[in-house]
Amino acid sequence: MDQDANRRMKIDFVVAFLAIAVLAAVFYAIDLFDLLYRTTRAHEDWELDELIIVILALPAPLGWLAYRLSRLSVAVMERRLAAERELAHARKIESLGLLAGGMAHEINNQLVPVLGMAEMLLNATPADNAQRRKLELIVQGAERVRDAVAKVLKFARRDGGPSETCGVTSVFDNIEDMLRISCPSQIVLTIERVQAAGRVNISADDLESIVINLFGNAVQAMEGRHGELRIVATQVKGGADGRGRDLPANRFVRLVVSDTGPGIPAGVLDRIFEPFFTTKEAGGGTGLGLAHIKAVVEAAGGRIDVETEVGAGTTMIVHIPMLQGAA
Amino acid sequence: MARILLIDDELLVLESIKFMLEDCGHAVDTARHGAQALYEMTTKPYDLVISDVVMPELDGLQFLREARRKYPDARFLVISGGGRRSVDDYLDEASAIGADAVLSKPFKMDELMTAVAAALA
Repeated sequence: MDQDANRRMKIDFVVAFLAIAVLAAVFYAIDLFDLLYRTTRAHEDWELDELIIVILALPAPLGWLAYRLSRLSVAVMERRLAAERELAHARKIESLGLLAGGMAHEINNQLVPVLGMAEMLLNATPADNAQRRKLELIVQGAERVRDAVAKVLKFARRDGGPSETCGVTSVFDNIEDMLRISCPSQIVLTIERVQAAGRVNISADDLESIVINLFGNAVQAMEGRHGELRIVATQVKGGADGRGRDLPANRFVRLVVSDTGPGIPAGVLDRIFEPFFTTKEAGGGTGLGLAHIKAVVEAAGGRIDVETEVGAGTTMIVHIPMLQGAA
Repeated sequence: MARILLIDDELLVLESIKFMLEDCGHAVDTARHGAQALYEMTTKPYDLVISDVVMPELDGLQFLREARRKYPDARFLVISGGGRRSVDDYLDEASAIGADAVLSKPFKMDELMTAVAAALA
């Protein structure tokens, strides 16, 4: 990054030097000294006319050079600040992941007596005993906590297991009906996935949860109002257009989920991928959905972007790498 | 009925799993960490050793390596509730270094008995 800035600075110096030389030559050619001599009350003993001309020619290119250098240093500083912010964010996510892992370990351990002993008591309680239902509730509650913790641990996972793959078409076949049924009637749902026939580098469960999560967020964003929700899956090549320009030149499946909801305000936009950050009311969401999607997509070598405009809607764009040689 | 050595640093967990195993008719001894378990194994033979992973002194994976080397014919069931790494990571590594069966915490009685049977099979 800084090498690029150095290269640009060298180019600016060369351009400034050439500009000075060209201007000096032009001034000399048009005999600027004579022009000034005739049109001003210049001293008669001016002899160093070439030098004067060069001095007259200096302010413009030097001013331009100063302007360029200041722009360049501001850009370098901004890039450093952005890199520092990104690093701080990554450290925060990392420590949250560790915290989640530690908490999950503690909860899993303490659930052993809860689940195990409640079940033992349940087995020892006669079928006609009214206390059985209470023990069943303890077992069911402990099982729910176990499932919730498994989700958190999955998020805390950093190095993952062997990578799985899935077919985009079969995933959509599985969930398309469910999405259509669960979409509120005031929202017009459009699903387009004609070109996305290939296999991608994540598991079917993860791809399903990405689509369902983004769909759920969009529906909640348009809560109680009429609107349009579009889910489009296409194949693209990294670098093919503006949206994929930072991606390597591999083939990707691009999943775009857009809504016509209220959009995401700037203060919220910076935080939507943070674990445990949610704008939903208590009980409405854990704040892990988008953080999990981002972790899964990036672990697979893809990325997630968001385009939003307050009052107009939000578009989530997910790029997931396709398997090499996949159709 | 099997003679089982159960290793876990959490007393609540240790006692609970002991109850569950005894309820199914097994004879259970306990140890709080791997080093203690290695000592216990020198005192009498066990049909099965059930070990947690994250423990002080000698953790479950180090214990398994050591015990597998000393007792090639012993049977091991490794249990884990995760930690700095995910449950699957710990259990995959345990399988790779010689656990006969693995089980994630928490578990129900039938899941524990299935895992015990698999480790003894």
